[in-house]
Amino acid sequence: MNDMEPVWERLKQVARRAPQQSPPSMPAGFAAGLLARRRTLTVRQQPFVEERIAWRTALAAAALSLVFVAWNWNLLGLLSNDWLLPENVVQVEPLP
Amino acid sequence: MPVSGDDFASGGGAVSADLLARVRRGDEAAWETFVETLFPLVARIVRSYAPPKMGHEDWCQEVFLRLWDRLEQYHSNAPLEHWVAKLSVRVCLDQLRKLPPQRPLQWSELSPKEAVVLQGSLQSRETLSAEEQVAAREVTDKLLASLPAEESMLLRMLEMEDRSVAEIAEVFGWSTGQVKTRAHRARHKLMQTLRDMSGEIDSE
Repeated sequence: MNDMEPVWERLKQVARRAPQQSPPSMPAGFAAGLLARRRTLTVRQQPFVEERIAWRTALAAAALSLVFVAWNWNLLGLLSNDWLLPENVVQVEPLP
Repeated sequence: MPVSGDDFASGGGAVSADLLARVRRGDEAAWETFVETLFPLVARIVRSYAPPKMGHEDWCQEVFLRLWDRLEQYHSNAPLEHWVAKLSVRVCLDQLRKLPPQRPLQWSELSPKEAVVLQGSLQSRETLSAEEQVAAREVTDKLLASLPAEESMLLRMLEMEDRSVAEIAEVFGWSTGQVKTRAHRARHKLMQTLRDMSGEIDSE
């Protein structure tokens, strides 16, 4: 691969010595075109943003409801582990 | 023309604080002056990174649209031109990432002048005329553009513009180690393309 290194280096050096290109000039109507495009984008983005906010609100509400239900469930003792207490464990008699 | 590290943010006029304040307030006339002032800087950066034969105007529009969206993020502790230049480079990177993968450059894709210059480089011939220098620049542009987007931009910044590894790492959001590894891989691909092209000449 090294055989091509000097070729690239030479090419690069010559390219870097190339005369400067003329400074780019702004096409006519460029700024006005930008303004028009910007307006279009703003109009298009508005419903999208509102939709996104609605989705986020719905997700947050769902998460809060879940936390609330889980908390109440625990208060009612439905998730208690009473059935694991030693007196509730059925003793299995060994077969004769 | 690739931009060198020193003159990264040069080329455009200066934007006054008053003009900037008016643009931020949504003054459309001020926006037009703002765009006119910064256009040479943005266009020069876009021209240095966009592949040859690619329309630069669309990319310039993308830069200004993003500029408009993010102008509130600019704080006056650094010159506006530097901030705009960095943003322009990032937009170019995003645009390059959207392009379809490029195939390796073929000898047949070079113009007669470019072919002469490359052949001269392969044969260690000195190519010094201004016309040949321009052709050499076009060959390097085509060679770099044939690499995948990120590698093309990385090598251009590293090899043509002499940017520091730390600066490149900041633009790409990589570690300095990643920059070095990817630069090594990109250089390897570039050398392979040159070798294949050299093989094409030998077989002719």
